[in-house]
Amino acid sequence: MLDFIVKRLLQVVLVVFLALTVVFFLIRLSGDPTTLFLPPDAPREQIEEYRELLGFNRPLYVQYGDFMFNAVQGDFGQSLRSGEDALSLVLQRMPATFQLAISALFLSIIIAIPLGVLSAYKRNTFFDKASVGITVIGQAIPNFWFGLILIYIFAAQLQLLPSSGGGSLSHLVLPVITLALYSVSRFVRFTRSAMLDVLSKDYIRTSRAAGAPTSRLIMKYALKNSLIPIITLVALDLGVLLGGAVITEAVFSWPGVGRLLHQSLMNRDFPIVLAGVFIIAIIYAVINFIADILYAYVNPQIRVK
Amino acid sequence: MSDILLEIKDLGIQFNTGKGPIQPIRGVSFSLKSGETLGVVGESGSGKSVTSLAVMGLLPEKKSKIVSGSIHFNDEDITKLSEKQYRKLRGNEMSMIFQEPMTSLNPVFTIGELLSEPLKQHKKMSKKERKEAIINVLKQVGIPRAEQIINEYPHQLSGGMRQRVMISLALLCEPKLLICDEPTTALDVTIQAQILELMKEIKAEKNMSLLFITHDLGVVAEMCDRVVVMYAGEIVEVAEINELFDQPLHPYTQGLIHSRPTNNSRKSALYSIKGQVPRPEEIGIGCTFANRCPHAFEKCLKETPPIFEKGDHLSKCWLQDSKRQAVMK
Amino acid sequence: METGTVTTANPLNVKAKKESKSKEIARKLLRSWTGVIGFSLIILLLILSIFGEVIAPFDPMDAQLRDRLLPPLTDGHLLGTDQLGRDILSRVIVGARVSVVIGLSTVLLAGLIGTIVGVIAGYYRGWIDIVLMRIVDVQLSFPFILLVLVISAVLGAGLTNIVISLALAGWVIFARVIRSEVLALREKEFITAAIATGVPKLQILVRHILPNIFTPIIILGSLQIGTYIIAEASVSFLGFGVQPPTAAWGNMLDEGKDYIFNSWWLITFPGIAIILTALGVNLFGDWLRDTLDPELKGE
Repeated sequence: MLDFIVKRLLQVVLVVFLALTVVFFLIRLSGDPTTLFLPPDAPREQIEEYRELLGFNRPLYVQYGDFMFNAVQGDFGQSLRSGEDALSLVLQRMPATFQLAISALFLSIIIAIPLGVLSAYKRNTFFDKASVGITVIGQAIPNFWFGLILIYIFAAQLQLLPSSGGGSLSHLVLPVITLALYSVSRFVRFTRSAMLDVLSKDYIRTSRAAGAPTSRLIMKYALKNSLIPIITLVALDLGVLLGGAVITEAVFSWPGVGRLLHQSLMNRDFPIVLAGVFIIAIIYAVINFIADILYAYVNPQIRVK
Repeated sequence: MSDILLEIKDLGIQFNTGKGPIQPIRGVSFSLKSGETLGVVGESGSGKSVTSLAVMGLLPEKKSKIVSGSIHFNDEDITKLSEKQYRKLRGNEMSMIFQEPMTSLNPVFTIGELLSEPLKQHKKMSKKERKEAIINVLKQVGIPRAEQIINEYPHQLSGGMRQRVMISLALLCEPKLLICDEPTTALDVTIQAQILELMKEIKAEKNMSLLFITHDLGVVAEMCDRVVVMYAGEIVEVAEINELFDQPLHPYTQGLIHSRPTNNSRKSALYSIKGQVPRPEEIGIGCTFANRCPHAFEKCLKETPPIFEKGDHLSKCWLQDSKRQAVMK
Repeated sequence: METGTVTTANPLNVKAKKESKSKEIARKLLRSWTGVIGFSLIILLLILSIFGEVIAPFDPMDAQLRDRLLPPLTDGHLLGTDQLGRDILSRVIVGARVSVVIGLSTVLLAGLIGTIVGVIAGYYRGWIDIVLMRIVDVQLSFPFILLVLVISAVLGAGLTNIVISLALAGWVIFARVIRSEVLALREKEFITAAIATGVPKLQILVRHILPNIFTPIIILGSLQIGTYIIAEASVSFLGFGVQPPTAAWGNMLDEGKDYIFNSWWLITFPGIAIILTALGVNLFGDWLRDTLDPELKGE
């Protein structure tokens, strides 16, 4: 187990390192950020002066080495716009994003897992076909559009909920529903197929032969088996939700990392982009890591050796 | 009250496959007396497992249905039972031991949790009584340290131990009928012998009826009083055990007996029946075994043989025709 | 039974057999109503993307400021007009082309890169496999949409750049699937036999491996197109994709969102167009997978 953990931690480091490297070069290759700070008709000398000031005139590998050296110590430089420390700007926004992603994850679980189980239980009935149909459509809906429609209905027409911003519970409702849309569809489909897979297993037949009624086969026996892959998927999906949060946050002006990243990309404020990529890569890798541990934990075949 | 516990009459089962319906079981009839051990022998694909699942009411609901005949258990036609009524029988009056001890026990539950299921369903017991009953039955089937085993998971046990757990699961409510579907096939030879010995002991002790499904005639000789030989979804021969080995009437049974490895034939090549069991969709007119039969003649290809009776010895083969007349169709 | 033997024995009947095979596929398609819906939506989409300008009732670029923000069903504007007075129906129709072009070119590019990498890794194994798969793992451990966003922000807006961004973010799935297909193929008897009889490695690759991974590529590709189309719309919505005034569903939504409180039609119809497109492609992809490769069904 320790061996496994060490191996996975090394992988986390590798992922973060490569992510930073790729993004660094992508950004630098795409052009000189200096020009963004000056009016288009700025004199050459002024541009040169700025380049020197910001360190953009040095050879690329020096800039890269310098950047990595500082990044290891958590220093991603200052925002080119506001001059604040890039990493702390990103970290300040983290709680809001987590709040959004985790609420969406819970909402998805509460809706989707019972629906998937019921769908498998009532396989091939109207209910099953309807729920599969809805998930197919759900997966075709872009969630930013879903968010816009929710704004139109609940904020513009009914005036029940705020359309943008953060801070209160009512601000959270629409973004969470929007973000949950995609996960719900995935979870329903996955839960259903995991349940159907388990229900066809020999050991379910054994429990049936022992006299267990169908409801018990499903709710007790099959559910516990299917929860193993489901838990893994759910944990992994938290990462997907963090990615999806970028778009959702933009739609609802939710004050999280996603919106910060979006704005920084618009402004070509690269220290913030790099710090954001750094944090997201770490979170993503840690989530993968936790999903693996969780998988081992809920599965007695791995846990009890 | 008759002493017949289980009577199957003219059973026909239909499966719906992607290519249309097939009938893996056609016109199967046999009976099982209380306290008797009846062997059902045949190659894979002969329909012996399907028959046993039909008795247990465990056929896949949507894909299969019983299209003819009846199954009487305790003088009651159980093919007409609702799922709820059936549930009262399963694990209680009748239980089943499956072929694969490796995959037939749920990996995420402890042995104790799995074994408490039939007791919860069929007996009113306190938690403590259940635990005692489980430990008792585990000891009966020869599982050492039963008190610890109940907190362990299936994967922590060896194959032989798992099969013993399966047996104890089947025995918990002291059923009248125990169906064993190739219970030893997946096990090592030495463990096989131990398990068979155990089952004999238990049977003698509890006076159950055993339906023993296997492809292994050696196991049949060891365990059974009477034997039903199945081929391609039909019964081809029924006889008392010694009679069957001394005087097999159907060429298929003869082939099966010939193809067993014995001590004195070890050096010579093993006899094998040529060809394969026809698939259900390939079955047409005539005797189902005709294409593999060394004695087949014209009539075999054209007409389905009826069942010929020689005392208690039944066989479905035209070779018996000249000596005896058809009594049943 | 007998006629079957005759057909296979006669090499001249190969063509007839092929015809009956395409007929068989058509018959199978008609049996699945989801497949029919998917197929019809795709056909509709293709027609719109080719003949968009002819079909569109108005010039999609023609801004009539006097007629701005007209609700649907006024003055012949079936779906209303946008903030510059352009006909929304016409823009939705013409916008189909952007989605089709982006969906198809991305799947070709991503599929090409992914297949090359997957085949090399799976066929040659060794260190190159380890290195390539490590890269795939690393990239897969980063949210797809975020990657698309970063790359397209860096590359800059425009149709070509968005295709490149999507493909650079999307090839890894192809690489992983194709690699495992190739690995499985390597174990098959006919490949082992070819290796044993001394057929050159490259020839085995071209003759035996490539034809056999064609089906999984097609299936995976058809299932990915929907993802690409939605991702493009998302990125365009965030301002990094296809730029106005080109009519694309994503940027129509981006522009329309500012008028959401009064003019619902600006965001409703491009969104429905995206949904129908993704739905059509996904349904067709599902059907294709179930028909061509029933074993993949569980995934």
